[in-house]
Amino acid sequence: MTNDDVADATRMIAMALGRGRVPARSSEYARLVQRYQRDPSYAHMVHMAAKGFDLTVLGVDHRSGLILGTTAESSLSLSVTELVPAPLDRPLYLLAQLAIATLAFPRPQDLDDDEFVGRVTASAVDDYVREHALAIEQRITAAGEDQDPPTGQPGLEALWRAYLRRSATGRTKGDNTPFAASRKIVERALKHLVEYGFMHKVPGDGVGTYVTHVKYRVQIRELAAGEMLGELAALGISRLPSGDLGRTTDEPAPPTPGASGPTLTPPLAD
Amino acid sequence: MFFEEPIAAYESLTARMKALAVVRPVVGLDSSKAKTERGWHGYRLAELALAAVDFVALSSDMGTMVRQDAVVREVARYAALQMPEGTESEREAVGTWIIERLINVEERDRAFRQPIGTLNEEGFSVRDFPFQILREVPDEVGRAALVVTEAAINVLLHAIDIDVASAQIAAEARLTAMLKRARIEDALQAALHARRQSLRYAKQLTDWRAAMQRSVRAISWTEQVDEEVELALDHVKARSDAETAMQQRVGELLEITEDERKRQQLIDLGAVLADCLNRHAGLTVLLMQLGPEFRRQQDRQVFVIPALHTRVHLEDQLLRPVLELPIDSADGPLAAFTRAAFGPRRPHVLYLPDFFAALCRITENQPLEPAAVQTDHEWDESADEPLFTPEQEQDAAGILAGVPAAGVHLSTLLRQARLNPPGVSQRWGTDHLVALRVQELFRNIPVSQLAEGKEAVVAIDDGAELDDPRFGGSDFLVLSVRAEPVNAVGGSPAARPIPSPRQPGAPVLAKDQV
Repeated sequence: MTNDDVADATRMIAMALGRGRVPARSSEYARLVQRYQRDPSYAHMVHMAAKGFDLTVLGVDHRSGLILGTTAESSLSLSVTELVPAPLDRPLYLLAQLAIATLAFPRPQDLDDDEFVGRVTASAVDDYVREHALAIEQRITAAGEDQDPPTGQPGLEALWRAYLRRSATGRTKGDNTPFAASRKIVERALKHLVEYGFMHKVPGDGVGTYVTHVKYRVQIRELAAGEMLGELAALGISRLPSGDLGRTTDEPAPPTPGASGPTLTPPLAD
Repeated sequence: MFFEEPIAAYESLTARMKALAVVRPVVGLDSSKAKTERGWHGYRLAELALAAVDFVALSSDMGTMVRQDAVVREVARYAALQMPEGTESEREAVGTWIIERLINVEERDRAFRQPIGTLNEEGFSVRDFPFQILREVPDEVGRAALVVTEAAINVLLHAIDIDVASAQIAAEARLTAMLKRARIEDALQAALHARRQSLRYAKQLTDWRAAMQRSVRAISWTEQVDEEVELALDHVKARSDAETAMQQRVGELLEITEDERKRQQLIDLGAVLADCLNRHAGLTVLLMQLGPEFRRQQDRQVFVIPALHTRVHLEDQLLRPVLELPIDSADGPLAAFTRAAFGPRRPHVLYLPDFFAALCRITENQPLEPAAVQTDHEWDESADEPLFTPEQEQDAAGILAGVPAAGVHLSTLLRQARLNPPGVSQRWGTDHLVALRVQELFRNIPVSQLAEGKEAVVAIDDGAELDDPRFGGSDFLVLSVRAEPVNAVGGSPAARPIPSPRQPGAPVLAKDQV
């Protein structure tokens, strides 16, 4: 191990921390990624150097470079308050982040597929959360439970209710959408993901479709999903993936719409 | 002493309090500070608010929506009945203010809250009942539109009813109110409704197509799609027949109707019908594509060797459980997810003493000057040389100031500009500046100076062609005039008759652009 090797290993971590650095745009980065894949002792050194920062190596990819994950102790992990300063918007914003990931990778196997590219739009994410919230509302109304939170403790209100009540859009005096509208919150979440290099916006399609990068899938698969599952388990909530709530996931394939499907005779003929 | 179960008795109190709470924001409008502060004494704001709720409820049924501007106009119409002497802008201000109060724009989540006591098995507690009156929702094109909440319909539009959140009662109330109060051209409404229905089907089908491209298992063909496709087909078939028939009828009526207003209505109806038929055709194409697309996606996604995976199912294991958690408990898991998803951020400052030293150094080197964003060198590169020197500007101003009341042609002024002032060497380009200034005077008549009765130089086009080696176009007549102040009685505004200007001639600069 020479001093140059140490410089290479730490350089790679510095590259991974920099925004918008990808091997395709930097020959040095590309060289380091290649070295990581060929030289096991160098790879080990990168892991050790990352550990010193309280970071873990989630993966190395020739497109995204070195992908780092934070540990609980890391001082480099992001502060959620910085992302969303308004406390009333924070739960909705965080929910939007989860919903974006869920809509981008609807099936567990999508997280494994290296070629899979998720596509989402702000309105689709908003509609998707609302759809789920409405389903819960219908179920709870049918059960006749009271849903209002105790006075002075708005934090005890259920998350789905807070989301459902928030207007999807609106109009301010300047003819803009209000900052607190739920679609705007989703848009902000998507914008942050773009800023951090996890997605890019498809230019010029009018609806604002965002497309995921490899890095985002790895972050969700290797770290985010597991962390959240752990936190939920700590609250005593754990569910197995099952199709008991309407959406079918592991059923046999639905019948092919052959003869029973739309027998389409052009109805405009007559 | 209770004749029935205390919990059941109290439930009725809670329900009625919820109904009454919805009335409060409306009734409260007339005792609000804003009313006295803005001098809106003559308006009955609560009644105007009810008018707004009525209007939104009547103009939005399943799927249609109404924009805020239209509601403001409607409220302004009612305000005009209350205060015929008020101004239009005041009424619109009243309307806008009422709508904003009904949306409750002051709250971030746009909700009114009323603490209401409830009694259940665990004892008595006070809970916040959140409600809304007007809601902003996205319409088909994603812009904000207004709808009335069910709570508001039940309480404000219909009557006092106990079950505030009942959608069924709300729908019935809307229908009754429509029948009772609105006179609608049935045919037009039916056509518009059918068009919206087509749009809705089209959106649903596009959504399904997107969903099945992600995962064919996400939609159940037998349970949802099949039925909806049948419905959509029926809809297209029925409406196409009805609309083709209606179009014929419209054509027949147009031939025999003389009344101009009716004719216009018929023409409008015809246009809507044509659009409807177009939409239905688009929907048919979508319907034809859906089945083959489903089979194709099924081949692609289902009939492959299943991959072994032990991943988290994001929707089933994370999204669904967290939605039902209280906000406070959901915060931990969601924040952990977001933090982990974003990964490490680049630290702003790696080593604080370095940063401190750097700050100190800058202050030492440049004690009083602010840090320059660009260096001097860059400024020099980007700066343009001024085309004319200050002396030339002065000369040109002097020449124009000396214009007599009788007027002088541009050609004379140009000759004057080309003369060297005594004791000064040739300054090339003063004539160009004079030409520019005169052209500017022709385009921008100094109206404010004239209106105040001050002397001003104006340029007019009297039809003469400019004969000059450098410039072409009209030989403007430049003259200094003094007009009567606008307030003065009678007479022509100008002191002297000004030749009537013809249409602007060719631009004065032509032959030699510098």
